[in-house]
Amino acid sequence: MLSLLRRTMSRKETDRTTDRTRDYTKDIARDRLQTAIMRDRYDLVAPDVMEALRRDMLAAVSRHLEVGDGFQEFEIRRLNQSLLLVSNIRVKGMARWAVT
Amino acid sequence: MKGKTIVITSGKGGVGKTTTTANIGTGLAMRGHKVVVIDTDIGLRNLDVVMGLENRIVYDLVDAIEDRCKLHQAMIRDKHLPELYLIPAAQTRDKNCINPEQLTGLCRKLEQEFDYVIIDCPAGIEQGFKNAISPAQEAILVTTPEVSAIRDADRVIGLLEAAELYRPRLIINRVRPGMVKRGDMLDKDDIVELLAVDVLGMVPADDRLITATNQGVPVIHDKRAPSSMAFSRIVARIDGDDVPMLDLEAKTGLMDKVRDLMGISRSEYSHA
Ligand SMILES: Nc1ncnc2c1ncn2[C@@H]1O[C@H](COP(=O)(O)OP(=O)(O)O)[C@@H](O)[C@H]1O
Ligand SMILES: [Mg+2]
Repeated sequence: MLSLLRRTMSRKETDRTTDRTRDYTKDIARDRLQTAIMRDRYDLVAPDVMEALRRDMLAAVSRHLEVGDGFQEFEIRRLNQSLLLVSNIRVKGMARWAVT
Repeated sequence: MKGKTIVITSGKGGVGKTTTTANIGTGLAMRGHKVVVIDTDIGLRNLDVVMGLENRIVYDLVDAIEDRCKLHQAMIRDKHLPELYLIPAAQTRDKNCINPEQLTGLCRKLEQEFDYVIIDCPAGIEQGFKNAISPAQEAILVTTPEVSAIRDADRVIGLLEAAELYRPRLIINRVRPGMVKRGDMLDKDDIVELLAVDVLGMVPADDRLITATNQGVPVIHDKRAPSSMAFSRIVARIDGDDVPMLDLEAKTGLMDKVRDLMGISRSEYSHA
């Protein structure tokens, strides 16, 4: 019994050292869920959110730069694990700023 | 006096909605409330067998809604608690045979007579789900600590909020404290971070829950079962008591330690 215990104890030791280096599977689960939930939420509201975002961003950019008729490109792209907001807008002019 | 209607829902099937409904209903009745539990899983009824009342069914929910019987005739009195009633689902019909207005009307009547009306929701997000959530003033969401159940729970939270059931409270069921400790199961904080909801309680995976269910007795009657303690704490919170949240802990008695060292799996449990 004692020798059995000692043997299993040492196995536990090695388990512990491997434990320290191995990834917790719950961390993998959490990261995967974070992405899946974000995408699910995005998919459900995509048209509304994109329309509102486009409007707000155009207004914000127009306060600083002269831009024409809007974005050349405006979309969410999937990139590996994440979502990427891609937007392109042609700058047509620029007000003269008083530079000191 | 006016009662409250609470729906027990999840999205994913098999996570413990029916078990939770039976135990919360029983627990509230044990605290002296008048309670009715309603099985809305039409075509796949189960709450009757989980509560051990399957042999007493004469009329069901659809009979009551379609006026084939009086509402009282569709209510089955519990074997143990005189103030607890079950309205069983119809077995030979489908979920489209009732609508949200009908179920809401029925619950409004029940609220006149009962302190709590607890609705067991079917899996899915279709008609049966829409029926079940429509009468509710509060929603309790059941999940397990697994990716599919949690993802579905997020979807359901969105649908509940769209139906103006804000701030549903979460029960995390079938938690294995040993796995949580080893980092192999999502814990409460992970799930709260993902879903951004309040946790009503955690229930351990419990063999005694299965043996109690085999006998048609909600496990909350078995005071020594770990899941019974967990459900009692949840019931107290529903009833307005301020019960502090304890972490589920793997039981580590001497024998468990020895078994652990020898690599023999042990029962995992908790204080709720
Ligand atoms: N905490 C638990 N420990 C062990 N078994 C459980 C637990 N909760 C539920 N179960 C079992 O899981 C199965 C599914 O539960 P059920 O309540 O029918 O889920 P749902 O109504 O969500 O489909 C049942 O066999 C039940 O006995
Ligand atoms: Mg069920």
